[in-house]
Amino acid sequence: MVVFNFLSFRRFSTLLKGNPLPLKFLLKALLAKPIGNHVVDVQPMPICKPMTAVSIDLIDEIENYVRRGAGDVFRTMLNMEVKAIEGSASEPGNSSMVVGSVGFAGKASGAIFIAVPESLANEAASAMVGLLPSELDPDMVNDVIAELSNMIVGFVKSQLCDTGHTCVLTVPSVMRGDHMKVQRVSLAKNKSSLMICNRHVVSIEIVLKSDV
Amino acid sequence: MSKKILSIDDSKMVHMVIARTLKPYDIEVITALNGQEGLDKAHQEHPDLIVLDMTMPVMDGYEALLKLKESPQTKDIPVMMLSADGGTASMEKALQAGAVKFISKPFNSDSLLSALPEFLALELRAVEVV
Repeated sequence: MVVFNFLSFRRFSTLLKGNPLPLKFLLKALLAKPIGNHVVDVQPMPICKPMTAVSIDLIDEIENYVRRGAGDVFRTMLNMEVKAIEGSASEPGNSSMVVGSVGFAGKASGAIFIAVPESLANEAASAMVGLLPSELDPDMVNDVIAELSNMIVGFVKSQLCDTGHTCVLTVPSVMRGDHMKVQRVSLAKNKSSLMICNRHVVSIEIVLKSDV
Repeated sequence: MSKKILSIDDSKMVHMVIARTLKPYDIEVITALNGQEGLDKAHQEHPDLIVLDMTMPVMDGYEALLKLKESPQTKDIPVMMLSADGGTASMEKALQAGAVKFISKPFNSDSLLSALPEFLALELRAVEVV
């Protein structure tokens, strides 16, 4: 499970398209009140069962799929290159972030969060729809990040299904916020990694609940 | 006579990308943001081709595809899937339900344009936009 901590939280928006149930914990995290610079913790939600026997190999495979999917999506849709770099997002970033997330449920269940600096999100939206950044509004940028997240996790889902981990996807959701980070809690296996695109760091968080 | 495509996708950005891709050609693009809205527009507008996403709120693409193929008014309209949900099983399921083609997202303009002539019965030629 992932909790977003909004430190010096100024604004956020959500773009929930349809069934919000698998992202219920996210909503709870979003609705939790920020307390100064302290970490805002969120209690386990009833929909999350205790973890058992999660395959570490599977989460590594998913990370690999996310990296390949992100590379393909950014290259094809945006004509941008994105590459994996060492490290993990341990501290809140200084910039405004746009976070796209898509859940998956089935033989492999979890969610993937793709946190993009707002400046890169604007560049991506401009590249995707062929408009100047000044012609974009936040909803358009949200829509682009939602769709890019959907494509990346769609690639992951295809790979999972083709290797026997059949699952279905939730519709994507998008959050915005300043100075936020992804915090791990103990109910699920997590893996975080970083990618870089046009000198902007993209943070990926994979959350996996699996009985495989 | 211009051809008409109905794009059913919950992402307005996908509609914009499709419209931008087809702008040089004499093809009208109408849009719907979910399967139910897409069904309604298919019955109202009688498009020459439907481009259908799979994962959408309200009514997903698979259910919309089944309903399109059940209806006498829409069953003969070719439906091309354009979806990020591109696993082998999803593709087979959509093709068995009556889709004529499955294009996986991410997609580029070439993959979209190369598929259109077959289903629109036309030769794509850019028209001068004044």
